[in-house]
Amino acid sequence: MRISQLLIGASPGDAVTEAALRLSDALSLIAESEVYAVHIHPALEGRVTRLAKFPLDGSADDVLILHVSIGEPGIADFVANCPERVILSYHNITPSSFFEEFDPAFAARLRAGRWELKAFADSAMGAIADSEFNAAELKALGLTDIEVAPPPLNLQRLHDIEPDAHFTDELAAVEGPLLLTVGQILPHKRPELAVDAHHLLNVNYLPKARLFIAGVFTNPLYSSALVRHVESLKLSTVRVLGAVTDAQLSALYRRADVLLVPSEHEGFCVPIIEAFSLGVPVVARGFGAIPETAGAAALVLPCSATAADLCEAVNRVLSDKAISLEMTRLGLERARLFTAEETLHGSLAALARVLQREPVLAISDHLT
Amino acid sequence: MSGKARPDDVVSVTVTEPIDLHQVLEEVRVAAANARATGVYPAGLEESLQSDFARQLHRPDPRDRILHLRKELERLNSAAHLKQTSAPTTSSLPGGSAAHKAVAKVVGRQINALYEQMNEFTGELLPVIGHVVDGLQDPRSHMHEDLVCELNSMQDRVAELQRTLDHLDTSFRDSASVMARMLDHLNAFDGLSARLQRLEEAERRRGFDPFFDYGDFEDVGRGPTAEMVVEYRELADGLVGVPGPVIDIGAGRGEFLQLLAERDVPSWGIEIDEALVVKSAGSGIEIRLSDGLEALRDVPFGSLGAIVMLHVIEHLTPNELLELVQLSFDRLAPGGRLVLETPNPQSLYVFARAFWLDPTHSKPVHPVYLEFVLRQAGYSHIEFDWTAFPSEDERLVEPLGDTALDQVVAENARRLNSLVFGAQNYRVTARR
Repeated sequence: MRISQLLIGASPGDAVTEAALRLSDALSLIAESEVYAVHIHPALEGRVTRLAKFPLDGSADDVLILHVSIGEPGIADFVANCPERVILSYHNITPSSFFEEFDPAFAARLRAGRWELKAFADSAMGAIADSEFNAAELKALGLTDIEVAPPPLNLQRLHDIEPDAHFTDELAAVEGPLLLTVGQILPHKRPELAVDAHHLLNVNYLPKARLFIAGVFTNPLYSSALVRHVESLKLSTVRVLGAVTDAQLSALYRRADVLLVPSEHEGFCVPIIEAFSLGVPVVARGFGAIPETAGAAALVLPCSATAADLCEAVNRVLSDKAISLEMTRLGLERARLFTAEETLHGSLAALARVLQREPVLAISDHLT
Repeated sequence: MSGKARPDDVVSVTVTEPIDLHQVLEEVRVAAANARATGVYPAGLEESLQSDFARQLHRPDPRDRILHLRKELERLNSAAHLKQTSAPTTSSLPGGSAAHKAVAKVVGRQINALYEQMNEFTGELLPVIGHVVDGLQDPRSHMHEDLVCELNSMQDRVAELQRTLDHLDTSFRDSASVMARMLDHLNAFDGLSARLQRLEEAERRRGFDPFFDYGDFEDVGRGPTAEMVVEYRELADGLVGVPGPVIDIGAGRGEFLQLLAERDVPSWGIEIDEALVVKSAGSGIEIRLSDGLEALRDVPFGSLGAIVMLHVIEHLTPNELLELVQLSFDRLAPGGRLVLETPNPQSLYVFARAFWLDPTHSKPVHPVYLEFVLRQAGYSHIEFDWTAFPSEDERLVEPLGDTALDQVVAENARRLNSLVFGAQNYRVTARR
C-alpha cells in the first residue's frame, strides 16, 4: 500500500510542508510514503518529489492525502482521475477579498482554490481539518466525513535549538518590554494593526516598549508598505525583521513579553501555540480558528477590536505581573496538548478514522 | 531586560487567586472605553493611522516607471539610427527620370548633410538620456517623493492636532457652561446677581428704547400716513398679480399693507415695534410682531410673491443685509420680487436732512453695492427708481441767461444740484 501526500507548494518553514513531512516520516513505518508537490523550494529537493514523478500505477488500495491551502491549475483534473482513495487535508484557503485590491493574480488563485475545493469535496472519501473553523467550511460544501485534528507540530525544535547569539545579545540590550508579531507579511495577517497598536502604546503608556515583526515578506508590495508605514510614523521602536531562522525565532520568543496576533483570518495559527510553549502571553482577536486554538489561555478580544483596544489589552498584560504570570501558566498548560507526539497521534488517529481504522491503526505501535 | 517570567520560573510561581481572563477582557473593554471618553484616543486618530498605511500601500512604485524607461532606452539604442533611403527616380514621362535624378542629386546633398547632423545629435542625446535614467534609479534622487510622503504625513498630524484642538474647544465650552451654572448658584450668596443686574441695565441704556411712542416720531420723520399712501400707490399697483402673497417687513403703521388690501393683494406685515403692532389691531390688516429675518425663516421656500422693505435696510448691519437678501431669494416664488427702498447716499442733502434724523439708522446702503449684492444672490431684472427729490425751492437756481458766464454758472449749479439735491430715496426692485 502506498500513502502519498500532495502539496501545491513545498517550502522550508512552511507549516503545511512541515506537517506533511512529519506525517510522511510516521507513515513510512507501515507503508510506502512520499510527499509530492507542484512547486518545490530548492532546499527541499530530495525530501519532496515533483508531481510529474507521481506513480501512475496506483490503485484503490492506495491513499492520496491532498493538502489544500490554495488553488493550482490542473490539480482538480489530476485528483478526479486518481485511482487512489483521496483524503482532503484542509488548512484553509484565505478569502480572496484580502488580495483583490493589489494582487489580483494571487486573488484569482485563491478564488480558484475555493472552486477546486468543491470538486475535491465531491471526489474525496473524507477530510481532516486543522480546526473546527476549517471543518465548518468543508461541511458547508456538503462534505460530511470530517475529522478535526491540529496539524502535526514540532514545538520542541524551538526549545532544543541554540538561540541565535547575535539576536539574544541585541534583545538583551532592549530596555523596555518586547512585543512580538509572527507571521507572513500578508494583508489578512494585518501586521500594520500591530504597528498602530504599538504606536499608541508608545505614545500613551510605554514609550520604551519595542515591537519586533517576524515573518516572510511574501508579498513585496504589502511588505514595503508596512516598512514605509513604520517610517512614516517615525517609530524607531519597531523592527520589521522579515524571515527569521528557528534560532532567531527561539531567541525572540524567549525574550518576548507578549505575542500580539492582529490577524483577521487564521485556519489554525501555529505562532500562538509556539508562544504558549515558550511561556509568552498572547493577545489576539477572535477571527477564524484563533479562539479554538488559543482556548482559555490567551486574551482573545472581539473581532471588532481596533488598534486602541489591542493597545489597552497589551498594556494591561504588561502592567499587571499577576495577569502576565497567569497567562504564561495557562499557555504552558495549553501547549502540552500540542506536543509533537500529541499532534502526530491526533493526525494519525484522524486518518485512521477516515480510513475506517483499517490500515493505519498499527502505526501507533511503531511510534514511541 | 524586562522581568518577564520564563517557563522555568512559572513552575515555581504560586498564584494565590486564580485570575479569570474573561474578567480581564471586560476590564480591558472598560479601560478602552474610558480612554476614548477622556481623549486618550481622539476621534479620527485610528482612522488617520489606517489612512497612512493605505497611502503607503497605494503609493505608486517608482521602480516600475524606471524599469519601463530603461527598456525604452534599450529599445532606442538597439534600433537602427536614421537611415538614408533613396527615393525612386523613375518616371513614365519622356526624360522624366533624368530630370528626377538631376533634382535628387542637388537635393540629396542637402538631405545627406541633415541626416548626418541628426545622427550626430541622436548619438549624443542617447547617452544623456541614459544618465538621466541612471540618476532616477538612484534612490537618493527620489528626495522629492519622500518629501511628498513626509508632507502627507505632516498633513495627517496637523489634522490630528486640529481634532485635538476641536476636542479641547468642546471641553472648554462645556467647562464654560458648567462655570455659568456654578455662577448662577453662587449669585445667591455673593451679590453677583446685583452686579449682573447693573450690567444688564447699562446694556439696556446703550440700546435704543425711547420713552415716547416711536410711531409718533415716524409721523415727523417720514410724514403723516396720508402722504405715504399717495407715495406708494403706484408701487402697490405694480404688485397686483405677483405669484404669491406679499410680506411687508418693517410694516410700521401698515399704510402700504392697506394699499395692498385695497387691491385684494394677499399680504401681511412684520413689525418689531410692539406699540405699532398693537396700534394696527382692528384696522383689517395683519401685522405680526417679529424680527424680519426670523419671520422670513419661518416662511416656506419659494412661497412669496413679493417681499417689501421700505426704509428698513439702513437699520441693518452689513451681515444682516446679506442674510436678508439670500433668505428672501429662497423664500420668493420664481418671478417674485424683492422691493427695497432706502435713503440715497449719493445725495448729500440726505445726510443734512433725512438720514440722521432717525437715530436708529445704522448706515446708508450704496445703490452700486446693493445691485452687486443682489446679482451675486441670483436676482435678475434689477430696476432702480429714484424718488423724493428735494423741492425746487431748495435746489440751487440755474441762471437762464445766454452769456458764457450764465452758462458756466448754470452748469455748475446743475452739477451741485445733482450732487447735493439728488433724490432722497431710491427703490430697487429685483426679480427672482
